[in-house]
Amino acid sequence: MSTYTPPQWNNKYVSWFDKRLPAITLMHKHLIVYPTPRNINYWWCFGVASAMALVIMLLTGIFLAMYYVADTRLAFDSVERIMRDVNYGWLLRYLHMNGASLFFILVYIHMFRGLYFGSFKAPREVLWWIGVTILFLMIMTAFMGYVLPWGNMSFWGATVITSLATAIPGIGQPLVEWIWGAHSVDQPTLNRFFAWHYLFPIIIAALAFVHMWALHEVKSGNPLGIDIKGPRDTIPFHPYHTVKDLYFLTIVLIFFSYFVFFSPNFFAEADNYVPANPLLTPPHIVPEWYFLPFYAILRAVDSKLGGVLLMLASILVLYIMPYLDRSPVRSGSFRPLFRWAFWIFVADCLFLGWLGAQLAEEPYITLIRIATVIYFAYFFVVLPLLNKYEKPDPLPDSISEPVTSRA
Amino acid sequence: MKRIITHALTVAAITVAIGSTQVHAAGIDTTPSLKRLTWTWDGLFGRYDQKQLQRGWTVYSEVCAACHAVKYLRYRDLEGIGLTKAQTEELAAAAEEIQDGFDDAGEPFFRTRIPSDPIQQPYANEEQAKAANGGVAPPDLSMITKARKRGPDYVFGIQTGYPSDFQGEPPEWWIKQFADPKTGEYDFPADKYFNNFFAGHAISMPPQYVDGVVYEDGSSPTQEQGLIDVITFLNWASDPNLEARKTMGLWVLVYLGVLAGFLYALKTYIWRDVEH
Ligand code: HEC
Ligand code: HEM
Repeated sequence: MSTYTPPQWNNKYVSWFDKRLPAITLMHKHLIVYPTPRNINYWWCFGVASAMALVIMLLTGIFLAMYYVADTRLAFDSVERIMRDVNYGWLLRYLHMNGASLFFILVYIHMFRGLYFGSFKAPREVLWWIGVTILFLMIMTAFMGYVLPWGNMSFWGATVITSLATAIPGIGQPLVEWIWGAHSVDQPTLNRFFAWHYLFPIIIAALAFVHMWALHEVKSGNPLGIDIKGPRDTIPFHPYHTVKDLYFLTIVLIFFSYFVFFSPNFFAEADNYVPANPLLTPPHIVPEWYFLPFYAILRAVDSKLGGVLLMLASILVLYIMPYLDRSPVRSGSFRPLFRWAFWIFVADCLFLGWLGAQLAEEPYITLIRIATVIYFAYFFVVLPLLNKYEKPDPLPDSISEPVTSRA
Repeated sequence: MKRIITHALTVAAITVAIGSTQVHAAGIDTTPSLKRLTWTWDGLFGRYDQKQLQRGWTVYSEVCAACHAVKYLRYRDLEGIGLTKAQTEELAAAAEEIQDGFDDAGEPFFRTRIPSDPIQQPYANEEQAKAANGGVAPPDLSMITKARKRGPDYVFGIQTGYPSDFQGEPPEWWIKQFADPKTGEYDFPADKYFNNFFAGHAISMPPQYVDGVVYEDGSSPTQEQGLIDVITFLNWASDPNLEARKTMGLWVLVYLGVLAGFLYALKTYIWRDVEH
């Protein structure tokens, strides 16, 4: 807000430094006095929790990379050596392995929050687009990371997914071989996946800062979905949100620790503890759970190219959300019909996830088709129709009105 | 908030209902199902029993080691099951010599094993392992309980899942399901054993008897107890840090739980005057 007046720093070193690089003022503005709607609830804590997950992934990943060997003959053993011989190597590895699942759980909830409360609507479109881009990069990073331990699921997963590019007419085959750096998934593939797997999270981290930049320009939305009208509607970030976020992060860490320490292979596939073997196809090739809905959509049509395009569309459609849901009311809490549509959509996504883990046979194929139709209908039919015909409930005048009148 | 939850529950219930009819439609199968056993290391407070680990090691080294390696283990790792340093030195020295590079004349140099050497493997290489076992190399066992779904139960299932001690003898229920209804003929490899839980049922491993093993105290286990002991050892081999992990996990949970309590109190205190 333009009303921000930087403080006078009394400490002479702080003041000296801040005159040359106003980092301290910047932090004061964005972490201390930054105004946040007084009514935001715990769904707004999933952003900061995602950031924590990103930090966990970066830190554990950097240390794992100090011991990991990207050689097809040694990769599997090097991971096993980390687990057995490196001091607390098992902890690093299990944190990183389960951290990926944690990251996706948090980011998916963060996104559903956005879809329910209309966080993608003006003026937050750019913020949302950066988010969708982050999701794309996360998917690629997680996919390449899963290849690194060079287990049998790593190898076959990599083969199946990269081969999807052969569906592109004409250039498909040469393109795949260019990505592989060989005639199949092999040493050059592993080597470059390691390089990319190190690179992408750094880009994600950079985008997360841009995400914050956009956020602080337009400010957080809130469960009522109405604009901040004045200082009565806001509270400063510190101490209110610092303490709330710390509390929430602790709860997330408790949830996470349960898996890391007591069920570290809960999300893992037994076949990935078998070394990669190009001659031994696992009976049932499945991706990690967080890819399952997309994997189901991939198999919704008979054509390979069609499946790939549908799968891409299922993510790309998020970019045009601001133009699909044009209802001027942001928050789902004031849209009685939308609410039903939204929860059916959530259930449909979960159902697609379950279907993604089933074999490609009947009745699953038919169910996948139905669920895929529902998925796209939500975006292209239901939302536009709702905007036209739904009568939203009356909105309160300001954020502070309902809270103060309740008291 | 309440409204959101009711919506979510309704929709979730519908999804589950659709899902479960599917499971029933697909689940016609007469294969015996894998028994769910309880293991000492299950649960938040689960631990290994060191004596049991040592008995398991005895079973492994007297029976399974004839065919299966535990390649991720070294002799010194056995201190983790309670052997003394002297005992691991003794075991290492009693094993076959190991090649350690070449001598000054360029000939392979062999020396006595020390605790930091890998535990002796039954075969020199994959080909030899295959040749000795009807064309299939026995898999390494130091990862086996992690490398199979429900690993410990599965290994027990495999070892107790032989309807016949002889090759080429599938059981009645399988013949009923797969034999040609007219001729009564069926197709099962004559040189393989039938196993209830092995994928495809035709396994190259003969049934194993562990009740002949003699433990340190002179006793012998029942077949079932011997298997439970060796599986306990194999689970330790797959996951030697389990105890350290669970101990640390309990402290982490206690710490975070207390911290969450304090932070919640602090949060309530700081937000006391804020209507929200
Ligand atoms: C005579 C050699 C021999 C002995 C002794 C032996 N095995 Fe095996 N085992 C094999 C062979 C060969 C296979 C591979 C079977 C196949 O893939 O068809 C095998 C496979 C296995 C498997 C893996 C099944 C799978 O899913 O791939 C397990 C588990 C196993 N053995 C456990 C044991 C245990 C425990 C012992 C000791 C009690 C033991 N074996 C003793 C030869 C042996
Ligand atoms: C690395 C992953 C991500 C991190 C670290 C992150 C972080 C954050 C943080 C800290 C906030 C503010 C607090 C909150 O509202 O939760 C936020 C807000 C937001 N994020 Fe993200 N985010 C990530 C991914 C995404 C993705 C994938 C999307 C959507 C595709 C997204 C869309 C949004 C939107 C729209 C807001 C504003 C919400 C509102 O105020 O109503 N973010 N993000």
